[in-house]
Amino acid sequence: MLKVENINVYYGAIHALHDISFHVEQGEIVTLIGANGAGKTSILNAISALVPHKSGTITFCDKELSRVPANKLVSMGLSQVPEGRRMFSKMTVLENLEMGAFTRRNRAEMQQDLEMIFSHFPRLKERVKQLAGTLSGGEQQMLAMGRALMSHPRLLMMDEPSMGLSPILVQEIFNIIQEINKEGTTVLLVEQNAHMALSIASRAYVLETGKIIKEGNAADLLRDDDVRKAYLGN
Amino acid sequence: MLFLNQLINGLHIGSIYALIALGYTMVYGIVKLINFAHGDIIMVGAYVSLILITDAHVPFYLAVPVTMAFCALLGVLIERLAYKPLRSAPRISALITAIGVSMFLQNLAQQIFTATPRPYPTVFTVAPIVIGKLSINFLTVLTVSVSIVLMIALQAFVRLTKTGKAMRAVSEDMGAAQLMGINVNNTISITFAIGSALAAIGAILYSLNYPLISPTMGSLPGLKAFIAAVFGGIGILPGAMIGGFVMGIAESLTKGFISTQLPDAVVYGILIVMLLVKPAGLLGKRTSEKV
Amino acid sequence: MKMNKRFKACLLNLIAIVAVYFTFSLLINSGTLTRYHRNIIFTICINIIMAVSLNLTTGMLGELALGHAGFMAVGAFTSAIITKAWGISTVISFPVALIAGGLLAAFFGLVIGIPALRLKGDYLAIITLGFGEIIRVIIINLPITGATKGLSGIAKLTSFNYVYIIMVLIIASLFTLGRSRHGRAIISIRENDIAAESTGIPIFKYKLFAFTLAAFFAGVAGGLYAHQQGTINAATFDYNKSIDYLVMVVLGGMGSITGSIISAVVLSMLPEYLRDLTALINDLLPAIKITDPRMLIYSLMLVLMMIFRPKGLLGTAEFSLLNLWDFIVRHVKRFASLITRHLPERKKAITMPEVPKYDYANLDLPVLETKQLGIRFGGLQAAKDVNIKLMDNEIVGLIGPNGAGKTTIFNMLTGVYKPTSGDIVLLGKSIVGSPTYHITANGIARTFQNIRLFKSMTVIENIKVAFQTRMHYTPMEGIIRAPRYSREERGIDIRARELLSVFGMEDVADTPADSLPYGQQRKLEICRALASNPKVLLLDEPAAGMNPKETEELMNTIKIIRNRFSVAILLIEHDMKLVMGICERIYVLNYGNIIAEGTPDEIAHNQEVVAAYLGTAAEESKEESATC
Repeated sequence: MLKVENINVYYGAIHALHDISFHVEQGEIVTLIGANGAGKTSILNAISALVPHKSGTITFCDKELSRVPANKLVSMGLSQVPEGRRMFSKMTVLENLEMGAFTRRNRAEMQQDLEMIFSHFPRLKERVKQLAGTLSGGEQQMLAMGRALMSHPRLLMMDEPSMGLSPILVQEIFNIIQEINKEGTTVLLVEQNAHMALSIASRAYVLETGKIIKEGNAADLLRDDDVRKAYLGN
Repeated sequence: MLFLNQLINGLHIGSIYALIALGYTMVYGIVKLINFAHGDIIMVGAYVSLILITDAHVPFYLAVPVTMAFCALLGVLIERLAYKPLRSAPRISALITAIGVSMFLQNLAQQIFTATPRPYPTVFTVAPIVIGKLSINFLTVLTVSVSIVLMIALQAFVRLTKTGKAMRAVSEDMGAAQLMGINVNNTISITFAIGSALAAIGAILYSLNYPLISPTMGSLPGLKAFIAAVFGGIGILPGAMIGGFVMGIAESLTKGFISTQLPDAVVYGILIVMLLVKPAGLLGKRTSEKV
Repeated sequence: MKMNKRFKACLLNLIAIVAVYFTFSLLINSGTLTRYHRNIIFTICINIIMAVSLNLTTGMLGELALGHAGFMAVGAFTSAIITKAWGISTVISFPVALIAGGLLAAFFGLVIGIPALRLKGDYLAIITLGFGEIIRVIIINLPITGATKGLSGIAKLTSFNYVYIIMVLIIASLFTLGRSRHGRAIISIRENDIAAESTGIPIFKYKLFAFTLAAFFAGVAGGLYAHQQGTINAATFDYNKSIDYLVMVVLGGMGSITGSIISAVVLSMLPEYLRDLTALINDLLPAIKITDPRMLIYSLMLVLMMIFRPKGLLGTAEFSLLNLWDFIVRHVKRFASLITRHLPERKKAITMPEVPKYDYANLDLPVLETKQLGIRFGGLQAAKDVNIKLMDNEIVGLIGPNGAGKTTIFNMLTGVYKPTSGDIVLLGKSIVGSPTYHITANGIARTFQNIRLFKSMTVIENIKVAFQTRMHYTPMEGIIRAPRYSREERGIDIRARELLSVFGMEDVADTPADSLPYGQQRKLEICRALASNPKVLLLDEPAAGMNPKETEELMNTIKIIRNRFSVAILLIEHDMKLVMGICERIYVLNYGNIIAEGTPDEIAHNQEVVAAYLGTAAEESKEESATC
């Protein structure tokens, strides 16, 4: 579904991503794990065209993305939940969700998706009229996910959904990610919390200083000695 | 009676300030830039409409939309050429660029039209409306009502339409807006276009009231409107409107009752007091940085 | 050997300054330079003073001010009135008038700064613009300043000697100030004001100091200007003039004194060159007939300059012409260090920053204690009846769901927020209502959830800022590099390097803070907090963004800190492994209330805590940590 081949990203003189290649297949949960600054977010931003890549190709559903402007990616079915949620805090919860469906026209389908999102996140339904800025951290993460789902994506990319959340909320969010995946959305997950990410993912890639150093089945990586030592802490 | 007259004068000029202030506030809201060149858009609008009406003999009702279109285009052009390359640069660089653009427009106008002021034609020769002892100029009625209608329309546009919501989204978080599929560049262009078109109307209304056109004529109303925008809370549309009226009325009351020398000082004084009492302006919410 | 090199450099500076002085003096006295050229030179020097002084507020302090011409006006009129009225010898009256002009401008700076500097960014720009314009309107309306006509017939006392020497003195003092503890404090405010204040910098005082000093210099420049022109009119000093100076500062590169100097020189001469260009074009192409396009070209260059060099001229070493200028001016700036060499102080006495004594012997009482602490934001009770105790040398955890009020409590402890109820007692004294910098100086230091370093300063400078509370030399001693300056600066250099070596960071001491990898940045923040010699260290999510390996290292570091620096540590953290692993006691916060307190074991088995916060994963995590 998504195929990234040999992309390189530079920030000024800094070579942030070196020949990154990986792929995500329909229906999978794929996770990218690695330390802070390893380049996980850069990969998502390169796919979303928020940062340009200097060489290499990104193909999504058999279409090369390099000529596609950032704002057209959403209508192709690619949606990103950014790191740190980035709500439109002066807009209401409902307006935020509407912004998620910015590129869509079919109102009936949108309504359907809205109901679907509320069934996953009943707390958002209680707060539709509230300004997004007044939500708690966990609720904001839910809204960010709901907002991304409103575009009815084929591939949902999530950047550090667990960041700054309490253990109990992390669990809840990861359960919902699994549910969403079961309902047919492919997920690309970037996580610090390697333990959680590996336990729900089917496959994983390990990143270190802008390079992919390991890939494989999530279950295998969970047992891999190097990975355990570096990212799982034992 | 004098008081009422001055109040009406204040409303008249205040509604023009408000129209111009909307442009400042919209642009600030979306790109966080004090667009110093906005005042000079007024000057361009005045010259374009003047040429259309007196030199090209275009009827007034046609000259207005053409002037608006011209200014809108100019606004978009300025943004694309001068501000867009600096979007990720330090904000003060963009500010200096805006100052540079302002100086450029003024001096370009001076090259083309010379520094000698030109008279603006009288378009409306309608008799004043007399209510008892009070006589209200037709121009005043027109100016105030046009401004109010435009402000309401703009407010509705930003609150209700998809483009308006996109503008709000971009002003909060450009990157997140892009992830929603919003075309950020176009949205910013639209903002500059609307702001500049409103300035064009402001320019025509201003010129009808003060019918002398010169290359530096935009500075003063520009500065006042800018102060109005800050007074009301920059980035907030209703704030700009209230600010415009407050500044207009304060100015005209000072002229009428205190001294013709002091209106500027009073206007600045009001702004200073407001900022000291409410640092983010009348309707602004102070967003203290999260620690 | 190193000293020798520095001495040579200083000598070179002095030679350069003197050479420039004599060259121009000779050219002027011999009549080689016309009156016209002489005026340009004077204007350049005055513009340099204006630009470098504005650079102090806008570049070094980082506060955008748009009313600098107003201070110049105050200086110009004050000094002109004095020399006009005072019949004594101009050798006395002129310097007195210049200083008086500067002082009155400084007074205006103080009066305006006290209210205005509470604002930041664009708002400060606007309010200073407003004040600047009001100064102008006042001058226009006062009889003593000649009202709308202004003052004329002012003796033209400004000579090359005066402008040049005053300019050199001002530049030199700004340079030495910039390298003193006061300069570091000012720059740290630009880099991160919140961090600066919690590192013990009284930020408002320093803002006011920089703003007032800049106003003083502008006032002196105004005096020179008045006695150069002979006639002055308030209308000249409008906000356009302020903007001209701002342009010089930004174009030269914000915060770079030499940058301001270069751009002041270039921008003062540019119009003159463009004038010649116009004449040339009109001669060659009479058909076009342009009317003086100086300003048109100037504005276009300004825009292009900003687009292609948004950070200003300096820092772009490719321009060889600039390097030449830079070379010359760099020598001007080192002039001041020469002064120190001449001072008899040859023995390298060093003052080590003293270690504060906490006269707090009773170890049974807590170091820090909150009593029924609460805060309300509008209708929201963010914290209520919080009672936390911290004993000497204890490591205590503060956990709880997001939005429970953990960071709010930190903000109350450090004086960022003022509690609406209850009390905070540090070493037996209530600290409620004390400003943040004061609390830091008295023994509470903190780190931040999102790292707040002074990014463009070097690692060691970051630490030195925090030594501020234990240094004593005055700004003047810093400017003239008095013996106390040298002693204290050498002392903290040693202490700062010592501190860095504890964390294994001595190798990166001289690299900019923002070039450090993430983990080291977190470490540096802790290190900086320790530099203010706290009794209590507050860590806000120190493990955020760290992988398990880094987290483990951090756990060791925290233990080392406690033992070596004998501080009590209160930490907020979500990483249960860290919390359960190193904390001796834990408080659990939910909806602003403490719902549990106890040892890690007690907390892990507390039903209420598990339900509100830990979930079932807590068991797992506890077991995991048990295995290692």
